Order: sequence, then structure tokens, then C-alpha cells
Amino acid sequence: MSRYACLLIPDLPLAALLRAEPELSGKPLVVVDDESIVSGWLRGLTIAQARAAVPDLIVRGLSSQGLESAHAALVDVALSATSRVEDTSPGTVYLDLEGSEALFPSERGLLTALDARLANVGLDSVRAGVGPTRTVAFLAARHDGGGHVVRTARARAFLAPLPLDLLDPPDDLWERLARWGLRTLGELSRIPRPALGTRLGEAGVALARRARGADLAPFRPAAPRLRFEESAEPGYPVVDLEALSFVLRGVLDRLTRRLRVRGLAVRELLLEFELESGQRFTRSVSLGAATVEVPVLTSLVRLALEQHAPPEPVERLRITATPGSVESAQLDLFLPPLPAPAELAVTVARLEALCGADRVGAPGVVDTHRPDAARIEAFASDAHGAQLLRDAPPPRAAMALRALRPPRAVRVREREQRPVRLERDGQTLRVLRCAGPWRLFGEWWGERCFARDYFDVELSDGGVYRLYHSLQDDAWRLDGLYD
Amino acid sequence: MPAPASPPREGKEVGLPRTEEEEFPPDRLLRPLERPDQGRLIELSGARSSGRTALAYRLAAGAVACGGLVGWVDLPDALDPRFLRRSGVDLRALLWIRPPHPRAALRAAELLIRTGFALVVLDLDPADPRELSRLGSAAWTRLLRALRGARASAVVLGPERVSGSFSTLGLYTERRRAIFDHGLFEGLEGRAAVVRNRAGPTETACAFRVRHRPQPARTAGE
Repeated sequence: MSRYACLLIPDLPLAALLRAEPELSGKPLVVVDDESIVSGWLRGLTIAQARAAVPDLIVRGLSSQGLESAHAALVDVALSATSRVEDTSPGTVYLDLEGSEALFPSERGLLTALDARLANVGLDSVRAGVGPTRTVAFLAARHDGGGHVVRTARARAFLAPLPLDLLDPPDDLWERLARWGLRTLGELSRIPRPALGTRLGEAGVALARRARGADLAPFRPAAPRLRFEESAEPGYPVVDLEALSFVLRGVLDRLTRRLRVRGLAVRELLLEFELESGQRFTRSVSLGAATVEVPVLTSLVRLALEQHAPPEPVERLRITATPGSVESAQLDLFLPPLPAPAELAVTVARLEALCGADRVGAPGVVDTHRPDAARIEAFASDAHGAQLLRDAPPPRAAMALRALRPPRAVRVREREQRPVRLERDGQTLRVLRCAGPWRLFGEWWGERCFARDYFDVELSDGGVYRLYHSLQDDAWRLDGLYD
Repeated sequence: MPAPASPPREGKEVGLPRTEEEEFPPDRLLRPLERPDQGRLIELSGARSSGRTALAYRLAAGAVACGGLVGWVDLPDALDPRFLRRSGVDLRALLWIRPPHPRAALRAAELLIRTGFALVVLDLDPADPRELSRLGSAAWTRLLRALRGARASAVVLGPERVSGSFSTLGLYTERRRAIFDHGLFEGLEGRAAVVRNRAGPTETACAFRVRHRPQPARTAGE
């Protein structure tokens, strides 16, 4: 037997506003759209009329992005309980509870868990109900503050005393039913269907079916969304990075709460700023390891913006998160704990801000015969200690080479095609011993073609150097010091 | 002013190993660093081609072999990944940073230590001693405090000692000879001497040899 739950936000504009600005909770507050109040008990009045009634009224504009985010958060909570969720209208979702019995001790327990998750994503005023059909679940959520669990056998008894206006009938239908003295769902459902159809038409029959708890359309589950967006409209142009960080932190907090309830983490962030002049400024922040830690994300975003700050004051901002899975590392009993991947990502970002993005990474060996080739690669912050230990070769007593970048040009005096004396920075150095040459020639197919004779030379300054004679430009260069 | 480095005249000195399988002698001087259980600041100083960078490579390889991450703060941009890998360092476990100036180098080292890197090598080789002296003692104090908090080790690499009394262990390397054999450059033979030591090794000096083309390391059972 099917069981459904309904999650319902009675006042979506107000809920969206309180989600973005929780500090306004408990204060006289209205949301306006085109000078008309669209939320709360002052709905329909103008701002002037409302201020006459409530002098210290706080007025905020309607944010369509805020409404979308609040509804998306509601869907996220629903998807945390079941994958079969119907997304019917803004502020209302239905959950098919088939198969989720094992996840929750009871339907009452399900409502308690959903309530906690809703509070966690910043939705405190959501009503919930459970019933054998979606209509019963909707009425169980809407009636008397919600929270009702209606058994199948008790559905008719539950519905009978409920007022008709809970079904939001059209105004003309409502007036006719009121004229006939019909006030409750039970009274309407007792009227025979042919008589109702003759007098009220199709709309009346449909209303009566709903009054009996029947659904008018089959359940249509929506595909689970993996798009996570949150936005902020501070209401004033944000000039400095400090203030922007404060706004960003709030947005990131809401975003990560939604991801956390779905068991996901942030892999990449796309920051979109609407500037004072109307232009757009975007910035992408890629994370080495997926995380939901707000301080970590705030640090990374801030570091990214310190390098490329918005050129003008910011009017609005939107953050889109690409979700990823949190990778858990298995700690080893015999190895030192490695830094957390997210912490490592922040450190790398800080180092990039300090030294430059192209100056931080893992050393990489280039697949070439050119001896001085080296590159810097992205540091794999999720490398695991045990894996590194398993793959690590044993330490060796090997010589090091201190690379000279760029290679130092020298003048060389030769005897029998071998260097005997070097001039560098006005200083003449004798070649005490010399090994070589070894001719290396490669990459003839590209611009980095090289043809060199290499020597290892011990000079009179006490150093042993790697020296080469470039056959392309007939120049001698020192490119490394053995140490 | 950087403290002049001078090898001690007295003390026990360890000779060169007779075979390749024998222990690398400077390991005895540096053994406590391979499993750092407290913050240590080590200075490796010495002349050109004396093997100090090879010792730092060896320390990095040891830290990676113990399962730790290594940060290499490379002020002169002198790190050669091929030679580093040849020393036994898994390059995936090493973060290479090329700071623009000494102050950024010290700041980067401190960041790495606080993050949890087991070993941080701070190569300050070509830095102007006057510029280093301008860093003042505050920078070294901060670095040492971070090391103690993280129970990590840092190695300062340079021609002279720069951290003064802040270092836990100071090693000075000098080259005895460059080994040229049958027209090939085979390696360096040097001597490492402890010039500062708060606690740890009993030997005060040792001879060592680093090879240009090291023999493949033998695994157990071979």
C-alpha cells in the first residue's frame, strides 16, 4: 500500500528571506513585490498601509533567486529521504515513502528526521504530513500546523471535519458551496457524484474527489538534481573584499548545508558577480579535494579573489557548486597522519597567493632526453601515505644536481675540443678535471630542438659543474652544479 | 651575522663504508630526523660540491619512506626532479615551492609545517646574507615554534649558517675529492661534521660518498 509524505512551505517568500537573513527571525517583516506585500498576514496591503499598522516594519524585496534556492533546499531535504520525489509547485514536494521504511523507525520518526534536516538547511517553517495519498498527505501537512500521520483506515475520519478552504477551491465554487451550507470536506464528499457534476461541472467533481482524499493525477517523480546554486543580494554595492567575504561566507554556508544533507561535498565553485555597472564578473575555484568545510571554502574563495578581485562594487552574487564525493582516507597505525586533503588544498592556495600559481606544485620529470627539462605539476593532495610508502623506492646515496636556471653563459678556451679554461663574470677559472663529451641531440621536430655536447668539469673555484656546448649557436653554458 | 662554520677538531669520526650495502654514514648523525618526534631545525651548510644538497635529498627520501609529506622551498630554483627521483624520493609526496624572496620562503616553510608536512627543506643558497639577517630573529622564532607544535623537521640549506642559535643541529660539509675514474665523473667524497648539536648523535663527524650513478638498491631477499 502506497504511503506519501508532503513537505509544504506555507509562506515561501518569507521562508526564503529568513533563510538568507536568519537574524531577522522574530521581527516584524514583510516581503514586497512591486510595492505590494506578498508575505505574511499583511499580504495584499501596500507598504504605506502596512507601516501605518506596524511602524517598525522591516521591508525586503522579493528575490526570485532566493525563492528558487529555498525550494531547491526543500527538494534536497526530500531527496535525502527517498529518491522518488515529486516537485509540483514552488514550496511543495511529495515523497513516495515506498522502500524508505528501513531508513526510519516509523513515519513519525521520518517527520522528526525531516524536520531536523529542514532546520539544518535554514527552513524552519515547513509543515509536513503523511498519508495514504498525496492529497491526504497535503491536508495532513496543511491542517493545524501539520505534523499529522494519517493511517489508511483513519483517512476518512481525519478528512471529514477539515474545512473546505484547505483545498483552495476557486472563488466562484467556494461561494456556491458556502451558499449551500457546505463547510467541511466530509459534507462535500457525501453529495452523490452525478448530482454534483450536474450542478458544479467537472471542477466540482474534481474537488469532491480531493475531498475524499483521492489524487487527480499519477505520481510523477522528478529526476534528482545535482545543481547547487545559492545567491545573495546585499541591497547595497559591496566595495571591499572584507565585506564581500562576509557575504560569501553566508552563501557558502547555505550551499554546504544543502550539499551535506545530500551526502555530497563541493568539488568546484563558480562565482558570478553582478557589478554596479551591470557587467558580470566570474571566477572559478577548483578544489584539490571535495569538502563541505565553510572556513576552508571561504579561505579558498578569498584567496582566489585576492588575486583577481572584482573590478567594481558588487551588487549581486551567485555561487554554483559542482558536487563531488568526500574521499575518506584510511589512517595507518604505523604511519604519521597526513594533512587532511581540504587543509592541504587551502595551504596550496595560500602558497600560490604568496608565490604565484605557477611556482607551487609537485616536481615533474619531462619525457625528454634534454637533461635540464623540468616542470611543475599539480600537487595531488589526496595522495595517501600508505600508497606513497608502498611505492617509495629506498633512499640512496645519490649525488644531487643544483640546476642553474637559466643556464649561465661562459666563454671557454678549448684544447683538442675539450674545455681547459672558463671565463665567467670577469673571472677566469681553470678546468682541473673533465669528463666527456656526451653528445645529446633531440626534439628535432619542434622549436625546442637541441644539439649539445655535455661535459662534467671540476673548476678551480671548488665546484663540479655540468657544462655544455650548444652546437646550434656555438655557445657554452653551465647548467648545473653537482652537490 | 652568520655564524662561521668550522668543523670540530675532536670527537669520534666514522669512516667510509666499505660496501654499497653498508649504512650511509651521515644517517647516523641525522638518524633522529627520519622519525621526527619533536620539532627540529637542522642546518646543512658547506662549500660548493660538498654534498650538502645530496644530504638534503637523502633526508627527503627518508621522510617520504616514513610515509610523510615533504615541502621543498626552493629560493634559487635549483631543484632537479630527475636527480631527486634518483635519490629515492617519490615526487608525488613532495611539494615544490619557488618563492620570490627570502621572507616569502620563510613564510611558505611555516605554512607547510603548520599544515602537517613531516619535513620542510628551506634552500636559501644564493640569498644575500644581509637580506637574511634583515629577517631578524622573529622569523626563526616563529618557524621553530611551528616546528615544535607540529613535531616536524626543517632543513635549512645554504653556504653558511644563518639561523644561529635557533638551529637544533648544524652540519657542515666539505668536499674531499671529486671522483673521476676512466674519463667518467663518478661522484663526490666528502666529510660532514657536526658544528652545532643540542642533543642527539654521538658521532661528531663522518666521511661519506655520493655517487653520480647509484647502484640499484637491493631489496630484502636478494
